[in-house]
Amino acid sequence: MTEPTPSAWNPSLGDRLRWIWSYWRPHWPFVFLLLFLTLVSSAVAIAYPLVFRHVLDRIAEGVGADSLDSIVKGTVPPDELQRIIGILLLIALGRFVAKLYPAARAWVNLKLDMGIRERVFGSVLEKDHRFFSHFRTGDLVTRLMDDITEYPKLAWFCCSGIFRALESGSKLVFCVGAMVVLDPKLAVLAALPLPLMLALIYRIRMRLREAILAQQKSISQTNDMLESTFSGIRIVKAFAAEAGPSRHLDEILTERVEIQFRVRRLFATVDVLDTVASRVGQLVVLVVGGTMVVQGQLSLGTLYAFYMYLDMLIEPMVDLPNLLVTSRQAFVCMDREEELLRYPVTVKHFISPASTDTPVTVAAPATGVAEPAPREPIESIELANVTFSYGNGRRQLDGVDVILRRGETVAVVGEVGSGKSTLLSLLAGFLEPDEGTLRINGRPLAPAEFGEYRSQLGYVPQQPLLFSETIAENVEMGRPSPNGSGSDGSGSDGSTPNRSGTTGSGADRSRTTESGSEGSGRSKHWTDELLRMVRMEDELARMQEGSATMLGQKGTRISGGQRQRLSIARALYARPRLLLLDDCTASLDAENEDRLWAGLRAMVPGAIIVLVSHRLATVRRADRILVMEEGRVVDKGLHDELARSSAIYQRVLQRETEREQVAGASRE
Amino acid sequence: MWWDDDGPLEEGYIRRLGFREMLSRLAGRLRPERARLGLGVALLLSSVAAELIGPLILRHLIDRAIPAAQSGADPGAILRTGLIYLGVFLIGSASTYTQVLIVAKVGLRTIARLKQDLFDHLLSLGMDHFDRNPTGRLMTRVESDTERLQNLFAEVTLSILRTVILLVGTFAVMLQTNAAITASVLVLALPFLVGALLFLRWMRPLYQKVRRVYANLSTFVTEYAQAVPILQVYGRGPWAMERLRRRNRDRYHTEVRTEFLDYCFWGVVGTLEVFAVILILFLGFSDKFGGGLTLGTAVLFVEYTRRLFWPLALFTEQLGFIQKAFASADRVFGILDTESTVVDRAGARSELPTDWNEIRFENVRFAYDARTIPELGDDDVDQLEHAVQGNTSLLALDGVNFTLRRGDRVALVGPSGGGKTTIVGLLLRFYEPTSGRITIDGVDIREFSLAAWRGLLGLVLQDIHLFPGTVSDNLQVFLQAASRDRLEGAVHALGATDVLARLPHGLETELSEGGQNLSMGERQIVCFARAMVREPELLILDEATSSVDPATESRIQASLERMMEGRTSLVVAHRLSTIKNAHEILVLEKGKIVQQGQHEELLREGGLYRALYDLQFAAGEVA
Repeated sequence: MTEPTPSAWNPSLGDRLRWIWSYWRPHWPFVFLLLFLTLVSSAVAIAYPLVFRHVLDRIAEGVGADSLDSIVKGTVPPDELQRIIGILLLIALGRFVAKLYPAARAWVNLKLDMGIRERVFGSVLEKDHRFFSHFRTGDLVTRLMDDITEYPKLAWFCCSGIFRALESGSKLVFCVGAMVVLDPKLAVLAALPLPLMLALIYRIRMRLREAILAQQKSISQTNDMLESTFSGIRIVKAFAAEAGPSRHLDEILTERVEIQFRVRRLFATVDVLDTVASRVGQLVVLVVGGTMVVQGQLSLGTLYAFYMYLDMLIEPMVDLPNLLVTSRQAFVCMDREEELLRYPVTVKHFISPASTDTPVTVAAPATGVAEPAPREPIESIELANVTFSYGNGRRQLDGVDVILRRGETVAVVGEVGSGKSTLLSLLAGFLEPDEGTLRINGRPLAPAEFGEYRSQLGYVPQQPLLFSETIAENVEMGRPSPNGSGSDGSGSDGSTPNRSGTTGSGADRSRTTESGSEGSGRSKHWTDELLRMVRMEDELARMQEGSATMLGQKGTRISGGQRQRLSIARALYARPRLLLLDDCTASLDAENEDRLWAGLRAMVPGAIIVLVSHRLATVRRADRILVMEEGRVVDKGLHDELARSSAIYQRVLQRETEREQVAGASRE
Repeated sequence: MWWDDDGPLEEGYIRRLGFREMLSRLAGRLRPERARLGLGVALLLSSVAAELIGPLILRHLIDRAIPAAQSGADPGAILRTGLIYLGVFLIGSASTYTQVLIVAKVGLRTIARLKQDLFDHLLSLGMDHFDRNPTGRLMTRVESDTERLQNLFAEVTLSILRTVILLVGTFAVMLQTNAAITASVLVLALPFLVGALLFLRWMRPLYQKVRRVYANLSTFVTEYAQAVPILQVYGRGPWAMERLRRRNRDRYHTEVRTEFLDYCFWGVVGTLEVFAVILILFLGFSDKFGGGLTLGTAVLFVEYTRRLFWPLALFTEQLGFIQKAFASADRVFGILDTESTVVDRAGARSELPTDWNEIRFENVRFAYDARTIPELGDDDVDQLEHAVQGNTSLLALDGVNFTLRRGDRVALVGPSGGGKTTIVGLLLRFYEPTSGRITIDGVDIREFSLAAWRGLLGLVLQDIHLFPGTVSDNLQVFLQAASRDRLEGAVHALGATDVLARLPHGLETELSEGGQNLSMGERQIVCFARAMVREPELLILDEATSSVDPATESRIQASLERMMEGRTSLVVAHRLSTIKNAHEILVLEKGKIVQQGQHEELLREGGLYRALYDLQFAAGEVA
């Protein structure tokens, strides 16, 4: 039912049910389990009052129906009592099982939860730049987490919501059925006030929805105010303006108390109506039923059974309308997931054949697809008359002609918005040219060959994004060690995987087993060498667990410079033939940068390196400099030539350096 | 998420309160509402009484009214019983409803007041408190911690009181009716209560694990969703999928286990009720024990039993709430007890000299609390760890002397961690010097009140900070003091009247989150104007380093120049033009002024300044 085309999603109820069923399908036997539990729960519910009816009637019999004693006392014969106790024990068991019903529903909720998240996450992994400029990370995380998991959203509704409603409905039918069978006339009279109360409750619930929305709004208003005041505390204090935010918060809180009180009042009203509905029914049973008992039309046991049924009816009757409320919320979440799934991918090489008919249940990833063997090393890259626009009418790249050759280091400079980042994104394969061609080794790059091209890429973004994993895992990202090693002779001599000849990090065995199963010893060696190259060895020596140290929220904090260096090591891991560096040396000092560049070149002697930088010291290292302005390459050459001849180069460099901190980030 | 921030208290800053002290302080907070609370408790009693009477009426009907009617002795008995039932449930429902509303109102108002007090108190604390506590944590204190206290006040306390009264009442009636049977039901209930408490204690780590595992999954999704392009470049999609699956499964296993254990507990509660009923029937109607329970009493006991075990089970659950609420109360009162490190001296003057000539740093030394250094170079992380472990402090400023003459522009330059931000913080009196002093015309600035001193200053920070509210709210930080003319005048002085004209409602335009309905340049202008509204005599400027497009850049430059024109200013400088125009440049390194002078002098002098300049600005020479 999912097509890769940007089809509109205007689902009918049937479509929604099919959507839900698609996640249910792998777990279909659970349908029977849950149906069975529905029956158990309903059976226990109707049986309990019936047992008491039986007990009371037997006792009354024993006493004698015509006894004129004012106080009816009695005993039950021992064998009869044993039978009754036996039935009650069965009911106890039934109750226990019935109480596990919510747990079973939660169990399936979790299964669906996993399925939905995996499917949507898998789809996000295959999206292109348009998608990521359209959805902020925070939004994606909300859709991947809260929208699926929170009560009463998607996963809850898909199982618990539906089956709870089913359980309530079934209890309702069974209880009313039992009452009708016991005494139709009394049943009608006793249940009469219920629909009326329910209609009232339903109307209040609708108002409750609005009130709760208003409450949420006022809570987030409070939070906004707190957040902005605390994060802007310097402003507040410097301006001696403490009284301002204080007064403003007071206004917000005063209004909030009123709004929250309204919510409480509506809830209290619903609660009170719930009990009133039940009590009115019971009143009818007491008066009408009592009179019927006197007239001999009803047994005492039946009267009490009615009394109990009326208590038990309330819960399911209140629960049923809930399905309508929660379904609305769940359907909104469903649409939000579907929006992600359906967001079209336009860059051709992102449209993998696999994604056209992604199975609804996420199967294990096709193994081996990830690492295509680099058949033909990149020797040259040619951009011929390449044009690109993000679709806003402005050409980000406008007829760019560039040839990059093996072993060459090329710097790209230009002002903000001149197109240099776009150029890098295009080379990294995030974008494809609107017009013009990208040629590798003289041949245009077909979408199908993209995997091969990508396997030879190294990319260091401006923002070094690391994961909360170990340092080694951040560098390796589960990739196998490249076997054709140039400088690393020891790594390629067929050493056994478990050889741990490296120093200072024996503690990491448990962690690295997570990352890669094969050749861990070899990749470990290579990783260590890379970490040395990016000058991390001193820091690693200081960390207790070396490269097995966990990073991130619950792990070690590392500085911006360290993050950048790790990001560079990651880019070098697969021995790229094309290395793209997006302004990534900003927080390295001159000495570190010198050594880094020397080491880097030695690691990938034949690779093409393209770097974007604002720093004179970095740009000077390039074999060639491309100066960009308004999407065009306006000058090329060496630093010395350009500094003499190119007015734009001079202007760009001066402006950029002026903007830089005098020394702010120069130390590491 | 609030539970992530459930971490340790900031030891050493917040002392733990004793249980009694905490109770008395909580009670103190409720004192203004005591009349309403009293009424609430009275209504609670009436509502519980109604609940207890219901089954008694049922017994009366079965044992008395029906037989009386049957015998013809009292034909109206059934109707009368019905009317009593009606009366009781009407009174009961009305009491419950009113009581809930009263208590809700008390709770909401008390907590709103507590929030306000906390907020006001936090604003009065020294900057060190904000360095130590990230914004998220402070928000948790004011919002989530107080909400938990609200639960304690309103829901939990009352519902526990209700449970206790209900239980006592139930057992009183039962005992009075049939002591033997009641005692045996108690014997069944007590071990259950103990068992339930033990079970919940045993479950607690599991609940915590559920939250932790979900937080892990959430972190994972955040990081990997951000890094999708990286994953794509290296073709690591399947790898990322595999990791997601593993974390998904982790969560699944933990939660399934917890859910089943949890519901097993409730299942046991459900069966207990049946066992109690068995006990009642057996003891009440078996020949061996003499039998002889009336039908009405049997029904009464069954009805009471049905009401007995749920509150008991809920009660054990509520103990968990109370524990959490007390932890929150600890933190909340801890903050209210924290004293500010920067306060007005007794008899501080509220008038500054209007014709001052110079502000001077005299041998100022300053050490941050080792835990809270705001300005860190990469190297300092290690140094910081040492300092934290040794519980020593780092000298952020070490004997700084300089003079800021009226009308001068002084620039601060130097590597990060050198002390630039600290100088600004001390001048703003965010902190007090550890030793030495800052003077205005020879008078220590601590002789003046904070409000008076800060009234002299205007601050423009390098990052844009806007408040949720209108432009006008932002220009005066919610103080409704300045006239419309003055606000417009401030914008005009920046040469930015056109910005105001573009806004749909002028000064009253609402800024959406973070000012996203304004361009970068416009947001910057609002921040500048905020400083200008106060017509500061001394402007403190932390220059921006972020890249903006060239047109915006030159616009910002022009506004900055207009601001500094004719004013005394202290600038943490990042732009060459700012430095070149400064009357004096202070080069800071490791808390000391290592060089001092004008641009050309310093360049000739060599040293750190020259080195910094060469690294960053060498291209300027070419042009």
